[in-house]
Amino acid sequence: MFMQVVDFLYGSNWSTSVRDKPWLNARAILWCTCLIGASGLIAHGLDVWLNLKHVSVIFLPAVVICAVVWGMLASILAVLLTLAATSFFFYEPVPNFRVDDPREFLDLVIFTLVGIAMSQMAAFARQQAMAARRRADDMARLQSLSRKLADAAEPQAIANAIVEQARGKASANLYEPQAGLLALVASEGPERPAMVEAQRHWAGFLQTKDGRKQSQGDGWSFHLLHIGQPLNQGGEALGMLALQDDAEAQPAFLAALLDQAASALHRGHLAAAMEDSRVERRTKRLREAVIDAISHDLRTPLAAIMGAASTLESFGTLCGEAERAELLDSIREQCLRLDSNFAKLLDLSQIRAGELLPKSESVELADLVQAALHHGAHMLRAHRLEVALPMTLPLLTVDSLMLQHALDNLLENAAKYSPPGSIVRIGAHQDDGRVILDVSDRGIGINAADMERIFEPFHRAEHPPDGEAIAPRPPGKGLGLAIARAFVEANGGSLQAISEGEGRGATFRIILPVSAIHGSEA
Amino acid sequence: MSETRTRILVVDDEVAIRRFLRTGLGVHGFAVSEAESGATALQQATIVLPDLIVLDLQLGDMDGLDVLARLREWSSVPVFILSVRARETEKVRAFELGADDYIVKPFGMAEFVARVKSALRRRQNLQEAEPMVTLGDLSVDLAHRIVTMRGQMVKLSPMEYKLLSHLARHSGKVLTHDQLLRHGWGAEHVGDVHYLRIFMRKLRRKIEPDPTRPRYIATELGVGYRLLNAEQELTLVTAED
Repeated sequence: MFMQVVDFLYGSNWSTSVRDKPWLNARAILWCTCLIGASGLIAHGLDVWLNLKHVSVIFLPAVVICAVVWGMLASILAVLLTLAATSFFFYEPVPNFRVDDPREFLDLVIFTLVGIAMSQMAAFARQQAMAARRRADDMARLQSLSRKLADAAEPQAIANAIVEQARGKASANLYEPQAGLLALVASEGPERPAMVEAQRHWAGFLQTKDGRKQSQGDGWSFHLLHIGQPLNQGGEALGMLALQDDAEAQPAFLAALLDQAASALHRGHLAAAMEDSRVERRTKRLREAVIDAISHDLRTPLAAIMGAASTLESFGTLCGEAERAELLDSIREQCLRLDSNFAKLLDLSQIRAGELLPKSESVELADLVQAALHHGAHMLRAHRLEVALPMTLPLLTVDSLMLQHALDNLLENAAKYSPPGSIVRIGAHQDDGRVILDVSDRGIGINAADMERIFEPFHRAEHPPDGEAIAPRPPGKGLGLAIARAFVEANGGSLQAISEGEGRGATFRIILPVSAIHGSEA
Repeated sequence: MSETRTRILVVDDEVAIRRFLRTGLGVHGFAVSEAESGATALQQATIVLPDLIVLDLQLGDMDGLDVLARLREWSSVPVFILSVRARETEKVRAFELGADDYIVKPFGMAEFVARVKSALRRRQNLQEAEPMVTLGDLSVDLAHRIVTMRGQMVKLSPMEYKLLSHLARHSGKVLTHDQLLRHGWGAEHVGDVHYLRIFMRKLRRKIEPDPTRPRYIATELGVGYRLLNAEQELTLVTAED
């Protein structure tokens, strides 16, 4: 009840905001005047009713209230107002500031002494309350920091938690040395000190090996975060915290905050280092798998070429016409295979490097299909090809070469996983503003479980069973489909596999959305 | 005797490539000269006056396209570009600079020789100013501006005829999108590929038996169009059957 009244008079939550409002503001002056005025009315009433002569005591509660709520300056103002009011309205001669009666004069002197003493006491109590409040605040901030730091796992999250909790009402910035240079890693609040200043202080810490805070005239102070012993006894400097207007903060609080922040940063670094080495191990494994796969894809055709050529060289005269033709044909076939594998690796490296910038251009779907069929003619020689493209399809706006490569890979896939003599069908239709292109085969089909995995390049390598040895990749599998999907998606489309299960054939469906279509013409 | 043989200048800094081209072209009766650098190529071109030049893009001393540009300052000899790069921007640059064909390594000798012969014949036709281009059921009479399919006259709009006749005049050779756009609509329409596609679609519907599987006007994706000549059409048909 009492605190509500205080909050109401103060205009906001007294206990939490008492620190930053000036002690005497317009609101305080207004309220002091009102309180003294009200006291005056009461005194007048008592004077009329009881003929109370020494009314100054009636004003004391108002003075005390002013002292508690707004502090000493307000209570002195209240005392002065009271002196003015009583001498003017109550003590003879009235209305006049003169006071003739010595008893009444003495009354006012005593009132003044009592009022000032009370305001001193009230102000002292106020300061005590504020300090207690601040300690509680600091405790709460420290606790909150511990909680936040415990939750944060990554170095960046830790850094963010530190500045968020350290800023208080102003700004806080956290710096860490990165690759030998000081870098701002996290910042809260509207302001930042100049980077050169930060660098100067950081260099100062490192040179002097003195961990005490360094203050600047403009309200910024710089605090070293270190782990273990002080710097001059072998401790390690981790970073630096710049705080604005931290003069009010308790040194003990600051020390605890810096301590917590430093150990959290240290923990973050250790965790990151562990994660790095884990990633490195995984990357190394992946790299080995990729090198294995590349060696396989490039060496196998080379081995076949080498074998055939050396057979012709050494035993060509022993071979019949048919054998020679077969060997020569195999050399040519394997060269094409080598070229195609090489093209895939180039595509893949382009995708991996994140350099897929489609060069969109108006193009006929039929032309794309023709180009892919021309390119894949040697692979599809043994298959029966059905192409059904309606004449009414709209022109597409895509990167024609990327889409052709996607289609090349789908056709190669169809040829590879369906028996010779079976039908490979290319069909297209327009549906709801989308153009849908299907490449269907009657081959080995796809397991429901593999429907998405087949699109991952080197997928077995990327997901090793808990870091153990990598199963060898089935020859040539996965790469082409991964490239196809990446190219289709780079053009705003999607590529999906449809199959009723193993042995029941597969359809690869390219869907190009409305945005990739330029509008249909006659 | 040797003066009458067709002479081909092979420019490549790779000995292996020059060797198999020398052999492959030699057995077809061509006389083959060789140059391993851009500078020697330009020199040789003025000395041996070849009937066709096979030019690799990556030479030790200079870029093949620069050699082509220098050549084109004084010669209209057919130039075949060889390259390991299949990017369409590079093809377009080569065709715009006046290349007659662009062949991506690796390539088969049979197709290569067929293309060489076709280019040589085209050049001869050009010199004889053949006014009639015939391709399967299609014939384009450039002198009388008449297009017929199986003897039936085909009605083309002026723009469609303009495109077709331009292709026919360079039959067998790729014309880039920009070259066609410049010819049809003028320089301000360069880059307007969509425009060209729409007219090509209309044109194909009038002259192609199946416009979704064109056999007369071939598309070079991202590069341009080409009216196939007789033997190109033949190889395309057999390849698909």
